[in-house]
This record gives sequence, structure tokens and C-alpha cells, in this order.
Amino acid sequence: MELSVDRQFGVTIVTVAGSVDSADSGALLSFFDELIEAGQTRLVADLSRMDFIVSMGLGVFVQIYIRLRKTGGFLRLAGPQPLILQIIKITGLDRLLPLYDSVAQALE
Amino acid sequence: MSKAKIFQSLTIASELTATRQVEQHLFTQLRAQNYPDDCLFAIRLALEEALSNAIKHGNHLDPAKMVTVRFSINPDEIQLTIIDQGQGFDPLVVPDPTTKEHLEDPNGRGIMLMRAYMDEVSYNLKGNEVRMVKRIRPSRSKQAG
Repeated sequence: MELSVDRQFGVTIVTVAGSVDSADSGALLSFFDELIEAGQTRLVADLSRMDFIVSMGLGVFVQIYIRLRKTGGFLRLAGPQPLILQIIKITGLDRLLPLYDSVAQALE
Repeated sequence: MSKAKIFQSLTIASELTATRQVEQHLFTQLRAQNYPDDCLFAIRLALEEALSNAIKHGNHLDPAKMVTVRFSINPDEIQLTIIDQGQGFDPLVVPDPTTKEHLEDPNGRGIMLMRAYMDEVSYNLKGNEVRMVKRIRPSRSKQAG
């Protein structure tokens, strides 16, 4: 798993690239926690270079999404590849998490 | 490596990073058997989910407890058995994570993914041992892999 951050139009874009396995999920949660604690509550997760994710990793997105929803911020997921999108749909999370085809669309 | 039937067993510590040892060992052999990429993805996902359940929910990350993985590989099928040293559980009482009541739960999606991506998933009576089967039928494989 590789994480990087960019800022555009007042939104923090977190690129989550590569494979998110069970052991990575704790680090992913900590990364988002630190951003939120630093006051960055308008977040887009760029998943376009993610090639694998387990349910524990999806659970991180659920936790962050709910936390930001309660405080007036947001988390949007952008550009998941078909295999990742399939996992999101099988778990029903396409009915919870805001999904966008690209970062550009998530920023609109 | 020849395309012969392979039986092996591995034992790992109750640490989430230990799942990578199993995957590295197993996938070297699956690639040698020319398993297609969609099947490798499905097997990796189901294996990760089963191992993390065993380590986290079965053994509660107890360093004194181990997880055993047994696998049988044929050119057309893989069988995986994951055994933890916990108290077990009843998979029938695990709620459907796609329902409105549970959609916002942070956990509870692993068994659903295992069932979606493998052809068979079954537990022993105690609930501390899960057996999974994936059949390799490239032209007729399930939608999920």
C-alpha cells in the first residue's frame, strides 16, 4: 500500500495505491485519523491505482465516511478499478459510500 | 514445477502481517499451475479474509496461539482449510452486512466476500475451522471470479 496526499480547491485528495491487505488497514485508518485531527475534513480517496482491498480496508472507509458525515465534512471515493468496484458492490457499500468515476468528478 | 497435486500445511503466528507469508508461499505455486488472474484475485481475497478472521476474531491476536493453513492444489481446483485455536463461532448468526441495520458497521463483511468469491465455504461444528474450495473453470467461472 502506498499513500500520498494532494490538495485541490480546498479538498484533500488521498491516493491509496497498490494492495490494501489486513495488515495495512490499521495504517490506513491512522493516516485518515491524522488528516482529520489536522482539520482536513473534505476528503477524496483516489482509488484508481488500487488493485486489491480486503473487508478490513473497506471498513476504514466506512468509519471515516461516518465520522466526517457527522461533523459536516465528507469522504468521496474516486475511480475504483472494476475488481475493486465489484467488492464494493458485493458488500452493498455502493449504497453507502459516495462513488465517483474520477477525482475530477469527485471535486465538482 | 510440474502440474501435480500438492498437499501442504503451514503454521503462522497470530499477527496480521503473517498472512503475507502464506500468500507468498501459496501464490508461487498457483502461478506455476497457471491459475488465471481472476482466480488468483478471488483466492487471495478469500484467504486474506479467512486468515484475518482466524487471527483477529478466533485467536484474538494472542501470540501464544497459532493459525494452521492446509492446502491441496490441483490444476483444476484448490482446497484451503484455515484452523485457529479460538473458541469458535456460529457462522449462521453473523448478520447480513448489506442490510440497512448493518450497512454502517465497520466489520462483518469477510464471510460474505469468502462466499462470493469461492465455490464452497463451510465450517466445522465448533466454528474454528473453515474449508474453502475454488474450482478453475476459466470459461465458466463465477461472475465474482
